[in-house]
Amino acid sequence: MRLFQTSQKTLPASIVVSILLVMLLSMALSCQKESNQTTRLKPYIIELPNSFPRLEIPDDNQPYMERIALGRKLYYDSTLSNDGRACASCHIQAQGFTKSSQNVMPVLHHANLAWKNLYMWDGSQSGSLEELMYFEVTEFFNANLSKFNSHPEYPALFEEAYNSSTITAEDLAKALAQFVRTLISANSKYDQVMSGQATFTELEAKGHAIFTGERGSCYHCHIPPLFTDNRVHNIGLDSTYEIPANQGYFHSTGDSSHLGHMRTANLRNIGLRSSFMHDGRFNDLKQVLEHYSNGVKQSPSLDPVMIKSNGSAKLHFTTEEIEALEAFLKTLTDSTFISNPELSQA
Amino acid sequence: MKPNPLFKIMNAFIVINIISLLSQAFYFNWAIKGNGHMRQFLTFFLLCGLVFSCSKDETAPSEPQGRISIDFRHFAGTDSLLIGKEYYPNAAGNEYRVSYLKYFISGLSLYKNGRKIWQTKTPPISINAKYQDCLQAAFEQVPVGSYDSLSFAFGIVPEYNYHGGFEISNDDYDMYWPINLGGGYHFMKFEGHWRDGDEFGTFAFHVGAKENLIIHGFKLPLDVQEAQSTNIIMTMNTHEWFENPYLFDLSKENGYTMGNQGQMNNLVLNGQHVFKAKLQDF
Repeated sequence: MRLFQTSQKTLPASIVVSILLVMLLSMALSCQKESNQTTRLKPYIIELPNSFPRLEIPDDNQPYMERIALGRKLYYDSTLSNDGRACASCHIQAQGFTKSSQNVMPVLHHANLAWKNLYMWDGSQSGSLEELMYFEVTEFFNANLSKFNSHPEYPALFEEAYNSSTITAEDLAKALAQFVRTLISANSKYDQVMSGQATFTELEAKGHAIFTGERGSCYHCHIPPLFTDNRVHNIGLDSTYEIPANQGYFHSTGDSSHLGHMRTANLRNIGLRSSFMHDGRFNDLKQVLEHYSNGVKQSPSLDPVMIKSNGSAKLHFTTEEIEALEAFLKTLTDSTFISNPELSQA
Repeated sequence: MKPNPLFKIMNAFIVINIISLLSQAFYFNWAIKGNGHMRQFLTFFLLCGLVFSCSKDETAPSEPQGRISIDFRHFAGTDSLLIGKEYYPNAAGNEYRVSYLKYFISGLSLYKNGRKIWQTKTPPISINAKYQDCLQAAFEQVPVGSYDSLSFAFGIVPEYNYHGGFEISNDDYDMYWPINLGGGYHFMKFEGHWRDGDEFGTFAFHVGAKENLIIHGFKLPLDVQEAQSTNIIMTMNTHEWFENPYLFDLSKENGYTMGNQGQMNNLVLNGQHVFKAKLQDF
């Protein structure tokens, strides 16, 4: 039985139909992919950790292995700056993608940034991770694009990942966002306890109860499992705000009610840090907890949630309560995150 | 949800065989009888049609449907509410300035002659008084018809009010309500500052938990027409949170309601009167 006849040969009908069906199957399986450009890239599924909110990824920068690898390369590459620094110079994996230093503005750590929409201590940057990275590329690093376009490797890598014949700041930002979006910390002892794989010690459990109850009311801003609320707050570090570095979100809005408002810190891996608050004024967790216990200062822009139902902004923790809170906070250390080779320099 | 292409192809083969058999018996008998090629071609083209339809919405509405859209507007008395800007006098003689006002609404229902005709399946919608693009709640697939009243829950109806009960966005992540207070999400965060002479302070009216759900009902003639939007304006007067019927004097009592069911009860009482509804005029 012949179906198609050529000048010399004919093909069996069953083979022709089989080929057509294979083609159809292939088309069917590819019909949901975003474009021809990305069909040759290897898709990457970012697994949503338990209880995390929806992950919002721009349509034009969906995750692919090649793009993430490219972002990872950039993250560790000082080509991005003009002074020898790379992102990883200050965001050190072993320290939770931040850098320990005392009495200076702490480096904000890169963990779970994919779920943020407000960045920098004073909340002066907002939007998607791609927008944040565009700021880093163009303003923070002031990257020299010609160095990338004449680089022996990057042009081909960007051609492959983004179909870009000329590397732009947007391309660099997109690639960096791809890698930073994979910096997910969700396997601390806290997470294991929440999923039933571990148990708190008695002291940690007491700290957890204080943290998530009205005694400490920490959860109001440090909402688990992200341990931030993506907002800005004035937690009463100062009573006046003449010093520009302390003015916080006021710089963005010009609204006096925002004086002293700083972005809520993400507490994940806080046990690895050695400086706290926007100016690094505290050098250990006990000092931080002492602030909430007895150090909160009144001001017209103090955040409303700081005044508790007893009318006081001071929580008057006992020594045991401080120890319990400290023990609980240290359960947020994610040893997998700080040693994961997939997040290290390739 | 997009259909699984493999499942569609399997279905397609079944359909093709049925069509083929019928065809042999009737009109296509001449083409198919003794001609396997033609059947395979027909199979191919019908499969093409099915495969390329994979991204279409296959759900055909069973009855004519329209849309209801509610625009939320916020006033302090007769003044438009300016977040973080202005101080407004309340009934107790304090002045208050709002720094944050966010709440959920859920469970929109439509009634006629005292009988509930329809209730939305749309998950809770958050309203943030600060942002222009966070002031509208839209409900699709509303059955066409005339209704004489509506209701909605100020807060989150129980079927959604637990962690993971609906997809929470990054913007609404701050509405988490702790497990040890019942879990779920805040129904409202209404925060700000007050002053009274030389005194000043803060208030944080937070409400959550199922016992504090407020159901608002309004007599409103609604004529939902096919493929048309019926627009409602819902106006909140923030003064009402401080005065009706419970007088909140922020200079005398604490305005932090979290963990204080007594104060939340007062907010639930006052919250009954905060909204007024009307149809949008064009």
